[in-house]
Amino acid sequence: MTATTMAPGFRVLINFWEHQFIRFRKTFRSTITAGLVGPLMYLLGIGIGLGSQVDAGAADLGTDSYVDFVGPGLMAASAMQLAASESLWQTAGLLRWRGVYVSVAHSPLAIGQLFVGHVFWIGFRVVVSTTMYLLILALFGIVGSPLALLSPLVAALTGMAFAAPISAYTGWAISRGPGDQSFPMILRLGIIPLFLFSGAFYPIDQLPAALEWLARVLPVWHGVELVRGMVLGQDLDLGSAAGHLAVLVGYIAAGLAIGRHTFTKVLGT
Amino acid sequence: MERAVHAAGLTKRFGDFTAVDGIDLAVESGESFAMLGPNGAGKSSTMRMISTVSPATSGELRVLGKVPDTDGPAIRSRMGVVAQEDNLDDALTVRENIMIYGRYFGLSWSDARRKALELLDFAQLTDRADAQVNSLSGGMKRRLSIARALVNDPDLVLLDEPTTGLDPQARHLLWERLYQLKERGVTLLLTTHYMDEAEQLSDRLVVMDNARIVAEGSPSTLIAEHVSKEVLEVRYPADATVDLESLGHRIEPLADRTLVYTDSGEATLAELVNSGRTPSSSLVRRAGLEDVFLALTGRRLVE
Ligand SMILES: Nc1ncnc2c1ncn2[C@@H]1O[C@H](COP(=O)(O)OP(=O)(O)OP(=O)(O)O)[C@@H](O)[C@H]1O
Ligand SMILES: [Mg+2]
Repeated sequence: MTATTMAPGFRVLINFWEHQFIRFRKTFRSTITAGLVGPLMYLLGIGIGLGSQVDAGAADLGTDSYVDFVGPGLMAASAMQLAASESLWQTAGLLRWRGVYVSVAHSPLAIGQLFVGHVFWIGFRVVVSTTMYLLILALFGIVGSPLALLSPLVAALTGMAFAAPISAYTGWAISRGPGDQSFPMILRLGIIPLFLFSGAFYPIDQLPAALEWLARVLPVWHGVELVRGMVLGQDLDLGSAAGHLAVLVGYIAAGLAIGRHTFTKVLGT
Repeated sequence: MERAVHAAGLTKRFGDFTAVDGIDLAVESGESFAMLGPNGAGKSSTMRMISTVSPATSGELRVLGKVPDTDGPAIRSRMGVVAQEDNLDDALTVRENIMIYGRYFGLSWSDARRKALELLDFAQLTDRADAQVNSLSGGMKRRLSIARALVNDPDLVLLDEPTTGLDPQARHLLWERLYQLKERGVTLLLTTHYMDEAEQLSDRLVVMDNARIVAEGSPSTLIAEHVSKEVLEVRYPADATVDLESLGHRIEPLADRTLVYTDSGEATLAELVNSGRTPSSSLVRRAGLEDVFLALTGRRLVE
């Protein structure tokens, strides 16, 4: 049996994903519906609606039309939003209110592994939702390269670059009290503004210098640039693509390093 | 066979606060062992250290012959943990809760399915197998938590207040199930507020209070060591002043009544009646662990 030939440490990680998948499967239908309707609304409302005004003017976006610009950008930015919401209330629930992770911590899975599994699971969730996004983009004729097929993976990295540090934060917040009081503020003052400054709607060089600098330091813009390049088949210069990837991986690595400790504060004290 | 739990000077601090203060424990393999104590005594903190999830601040701890700090996964693979909170997965059905937990312990899907059937039967939940967890009563949830903890055929089962909040019928069903486990040679370590539970289920127990162990032994030796065989409970009208000092071995005045520890409750009651100190109501009973706790700490276990 495969279970015995695999290293036990890795086997339990597979079991963790299996567990999450079975939980996820129960909400599959609504996930699919929301996953398709959401992008459709954005593309119709912003891409086509707002685009008709933008295209009339002379914006220098480097794409044929506004919807080409904004569509893939939104796909990457939606990865951030999904990852953030999964990392706040959802994660707090698993850690404390529902106690699902408390039981998991009593299995052979170690808390450090659990955190890794948790972040990669959110990455998988992002792959599922952005694949649907990609489908809608294809429907609008926006996809221009076979490289687009790999874009959900880059979107997943974008999501994980938020999931790892935000889940780590949630662990810390929960270990000190009810935690959720700060969550709406993180969403309103952190994630929603970042959505606007992500480079999804307009190139970030349109921003005031301080905000442009912030956009470059945080992960989402890097994801937006990569995903847009891959979906449209733009000439991505290898150096800057590697730079974008390095930033995403850096955030994930930092979040993973911190999260194992904050999750231990909740599950292992 | 190795000792199930061995602790020496085991200590847990949260900041400046000491929740477990240098306790020694020895739970032999196959034994049923209880930790009895009031709220905040440090029972759960001790259990969490033994369950390997909470590192000890200091002291020595071996569980199933291994050290939690370095062998956590190996220990957990042979242990079942029923925490004080049920922590069932409310996104899953009753059956799935057991099966999916079993997978973490290396069970194949077919073994997990078979094991779930067997444990659902053990927990008398067969007819609820496909129900959502949230539709279960408190007692059913508790039984499911216990069933789930048995999915890996553990050698050691930790039960933190297995029956708190259950009605008498549900408690007796659980006791019976735990007794079956013990018969099979599973080592049980449980905490409880209830002395009748400790008396029913444990071969040996420790009484914990304020982070320390204040007494240790079998229920009957503890009772024999710390209190007399019988207790006479007497009540007098609130305004009466009655001298009971010289009565029995020891007296314990409580808010609403007085306990007189004596070898024969009937004889002591007769003595009171004969000397014109007839109580307005009286009760003779055998001494129990509650009395041991009272004698040791001057406080009652359950208010
Ligand atoms: N994570 C923690 N941080 C700070 N203090 C804690 C923590 N966990 C427990 N304590 C404190 O340690 C003491 C012992 O708690 P513990 O939960 O071990 O008691 P207990 O005997 O299980 O009580 P109960 O019967 O109420 O379950 C309590 O005063 C509690 O407030
Ligand atoms: Mg407790």
